Amino acid sequence: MHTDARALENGAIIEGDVCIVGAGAAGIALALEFIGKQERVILLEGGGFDREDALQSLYRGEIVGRAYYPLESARLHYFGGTTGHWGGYCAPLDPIDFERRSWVPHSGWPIARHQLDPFYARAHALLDLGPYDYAPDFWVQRDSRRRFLPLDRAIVHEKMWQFSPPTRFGSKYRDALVRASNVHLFTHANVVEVDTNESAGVVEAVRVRHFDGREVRVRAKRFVLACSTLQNVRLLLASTARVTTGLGNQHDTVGRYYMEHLEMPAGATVLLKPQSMYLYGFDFGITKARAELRLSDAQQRALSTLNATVAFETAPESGSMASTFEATPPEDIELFRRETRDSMTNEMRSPESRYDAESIARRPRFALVTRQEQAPNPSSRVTLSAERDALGVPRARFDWQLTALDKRSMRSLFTTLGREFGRLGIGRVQLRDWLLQDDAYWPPSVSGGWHDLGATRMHDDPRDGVVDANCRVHGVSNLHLAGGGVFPTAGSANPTLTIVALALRLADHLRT
Amino acid sequence: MKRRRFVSGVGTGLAMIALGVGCDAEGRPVPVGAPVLAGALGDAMVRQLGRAYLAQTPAEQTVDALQRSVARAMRRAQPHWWSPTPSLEQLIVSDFEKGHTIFVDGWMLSVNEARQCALATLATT
Repeated sequence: MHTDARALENGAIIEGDVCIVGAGAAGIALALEFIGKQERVILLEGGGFDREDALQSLYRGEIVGRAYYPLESARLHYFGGTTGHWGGYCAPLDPIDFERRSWVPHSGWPIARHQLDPFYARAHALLDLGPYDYAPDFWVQRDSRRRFLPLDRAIVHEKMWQFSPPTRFGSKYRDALVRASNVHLFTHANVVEVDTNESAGVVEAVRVRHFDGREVRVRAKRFVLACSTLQNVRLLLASTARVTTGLGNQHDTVGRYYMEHLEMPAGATVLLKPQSMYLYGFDFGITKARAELRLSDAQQRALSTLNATVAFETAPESGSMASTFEATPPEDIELFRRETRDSMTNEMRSPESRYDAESIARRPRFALVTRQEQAPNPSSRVTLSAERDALGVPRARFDWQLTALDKRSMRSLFTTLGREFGRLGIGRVQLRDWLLQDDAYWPPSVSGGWHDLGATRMHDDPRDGVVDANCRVHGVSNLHLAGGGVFPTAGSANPTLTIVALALRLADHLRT
Repeated sequence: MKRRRFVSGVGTGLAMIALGVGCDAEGRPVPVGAPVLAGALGDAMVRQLGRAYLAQTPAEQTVDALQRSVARAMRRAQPHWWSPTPSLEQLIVSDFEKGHTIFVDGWMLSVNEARQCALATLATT
């Protein structure tokens, strides 16, 4: 069922068993799991079925820390959420990402990788990915053109990525949800506050507000906030009727530990012995799987570094490669979103490149683009701005910060790669100027992957996290969070696969 | 004389330097060879790296000084006095294994291949 919430009368009350706030990757994956089950699900989406400027501008925020992408351009506020313009990069987090690492402050998940594996496998189907197998050998055996570089894999080895078409959740799953008799989708239903009982231990309802001031309340037994990391933070901090510091924020943890992936060109390489690079090459919209390079777990432990990968990208003909933020201004992202609204188009695909040995001999140079986790940092945080949006909710005040460990890790990765490539006769590695210095300096062009992570992190101890291992908000018996905000550490992998896997795991938990 | 012997092998491109053989201070031949980077980065880039190395290494500004440094490194790389002198290619691998590297224009190079680039630069100027 579907209802445009703007048609509801002021003061209307909607009731269900499970209320999911937000219909992006997490919210839709979660709702799909309830189709045909006994629970009555209310799915609230703030936007409609396509982008609307007035709604999108609700995501505008104040950026006070390190320069970042305009917040209203980074995330999409309509049915399908940011899957409306995502690129489709998928990989599971590595087992080491879940561990408590003595050299990474605040690291460690309350769950292990093997507990997520069954959900990763299920998430593959939703994201239209290939087999849930990320062993490099598996992919080399499937295509004779794929060849390994002669690496010493005790030090540096491959990590595989798979690529979703990319699946647009809004297009692909709209009909299934609208047709479901036990799922009621409300669009244009922006939640502005979470109402609890007097002790703030139980959520009784969420309040939906329209631009004209009318309000609707949604009651349910269980609630899931799946509005994206920053919007979940806003909603928790803005829900101050019972607790002045905000819901789930009794230990001042909501909004802290915000993380991005440091996704940016940081160097280059030239290969000295041309070989097939089909295993490592990537053409957007064409490549189904490819390898990036990472330091082995043992090497990360020995060097006390964060987890990261390095991708081989086609080097520009001249000049230097722009950071990911610089290379993709908001107007380009909007063009990509419009052109690929339902599926990838030929116009948006990269031209198909040749990665055979002969072609590599002609162009042996690649840009090296890193994908690195940042260390969890309580000072990297999202709070509320003094400015309010058109619905009266305080905007996000965004203060992204990095640490010395982040810089040292990237430098260690590239110097290790340089030494290994030289030692093994593979090639030579060039570091960007700012990476040559062993200091904490980052250039203004530092960029990320548009990945909002942490800020409502998972931890067994309420003093160190917002949700428990089941994604339930500490101290609130029936409120759960979904999305990248619950990640305690970011790993190097793009987050969508893990976000969907965690949503499926949460669905199982809520149904038991 | 040493410079003349080295330069005598240099033709129009750096690849021709493969024919060149320098001598160390004791008259022993030092096979400086063609920079392995020339094939991948091109002659102009190798010369640029050579110039950058010269700019950041005041103690090695001449062919003689560079050749002496390479020869010294080769002797040190010999496990025993009776062992054969390693080739420059072997010396470069050894440099990377031992962390005997240097950043030149951001490139992580073996110190001795950086000297090789500098020699190539001096040979063509």
